[in-house]
Amino acid sequence: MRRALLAVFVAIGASSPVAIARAAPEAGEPLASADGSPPAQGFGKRAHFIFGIDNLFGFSSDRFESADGSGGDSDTIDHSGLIPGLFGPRIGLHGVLDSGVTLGANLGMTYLNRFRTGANSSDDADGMFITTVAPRIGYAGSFKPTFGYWVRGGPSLRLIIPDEGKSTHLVGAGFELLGVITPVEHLGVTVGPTFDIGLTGGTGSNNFTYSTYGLSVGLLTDL
Amino acid sequence: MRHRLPLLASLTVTVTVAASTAAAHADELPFGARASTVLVVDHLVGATRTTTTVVDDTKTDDVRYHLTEAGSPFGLVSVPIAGPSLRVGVHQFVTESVSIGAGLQYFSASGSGMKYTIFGFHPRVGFAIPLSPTSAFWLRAGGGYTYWDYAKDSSENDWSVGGEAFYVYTPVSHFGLTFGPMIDHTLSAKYKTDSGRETKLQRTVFGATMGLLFDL
Repeated sequence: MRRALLAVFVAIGASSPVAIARAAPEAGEPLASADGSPPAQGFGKRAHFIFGIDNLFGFSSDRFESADGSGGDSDTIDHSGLIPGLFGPRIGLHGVLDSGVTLGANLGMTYLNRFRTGANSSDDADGMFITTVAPRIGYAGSFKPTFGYWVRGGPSLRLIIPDEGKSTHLVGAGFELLGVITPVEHLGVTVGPTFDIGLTGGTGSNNFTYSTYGLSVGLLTDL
Repeated sequence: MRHRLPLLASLTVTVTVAASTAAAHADELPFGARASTVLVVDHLVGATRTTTTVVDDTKTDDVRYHLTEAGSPFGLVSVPIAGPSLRVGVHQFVTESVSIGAGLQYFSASGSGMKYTIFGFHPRVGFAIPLSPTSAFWLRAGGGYTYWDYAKDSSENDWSVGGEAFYVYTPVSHFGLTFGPMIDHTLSAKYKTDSGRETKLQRTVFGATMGLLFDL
């Protein structure tokens, strides 16, 4: 089934990332400048919400492995460039508490449908709905106003629901350690390693896990 | 020299005051006027439809592949049925209304019996029409080149024209959202196998997408 799943991915195509933020200064706090100068406060202190794109550019190694623990039956695909990885973009929305703790989730959702027409070939069609839900708890801090960090962790759930046939679910534990460069207010560039360790999953009675690790470059805006 | 110093001082004060005033009202300037360099992530989410036609002169009817994507359009493909839609780009406003820039694509994958690389370059000339300090239309058009390198020495070269008609919403400084229709249509696309056999293709991608921009 894993190879069939990969074949469908390969045949149809797949992938992309995002994450976001927003903040209002507290009374008495200096307002960040709006003229292109560096922000007055560091990442994690100046905003109440973060909206962003993870994994916009980078490297990813995706691995499907039998759940029997033998490690002898696996498939690995390496990706680099824009939106590396099989499961596409994730748009993230996170709230920032006064303590710097962040609560939010990364979401990805795609529906693909392909069909072929032509007199010299039989018509065929296939499609699938793919979604990723990854709740995250984290901590955002900064070393100085233009350079911060963001550590996040939480479960990752991926569902693949084909138009016909059984659906696939993949459950893992994810962890991201991101450096955040904010040259001007409301813009951040995130760089850092990402990990997702497969815990369980499969299609029907065929059990397998999905794990991935990589180096991610993303964008965010904190508001 | 004595006469020049007061003049220089007054000029410095005038420029400083003008710059400070401009900075203080940076958010009140419309898109295109408030920053000269714009970093974009185009076609991040939305719905697109790709139609690839295999032009085979030996057959009476062409074979067409249709791919519909909704949600977060993917950037990964391995067979010539679709074009990667997400692009990152940099655009420079040479005037308050006219921008020049390009979008880039790069993607590579290998493993499990497959290997391919996609590279795309899409130059654009744009025209911004401000509606208010926080909204504008941004019309862009231009050409494009995409190179697909598949496993087993097969490859594809696409030359295309395309454009976007974006509505730009900039709620805060340095950040904005783009919404609107896009289209790319190949003028020349050839798929070449390792045996040297060439297949002509026609590909059209159109849809409505949303993206991000950061103006600096």
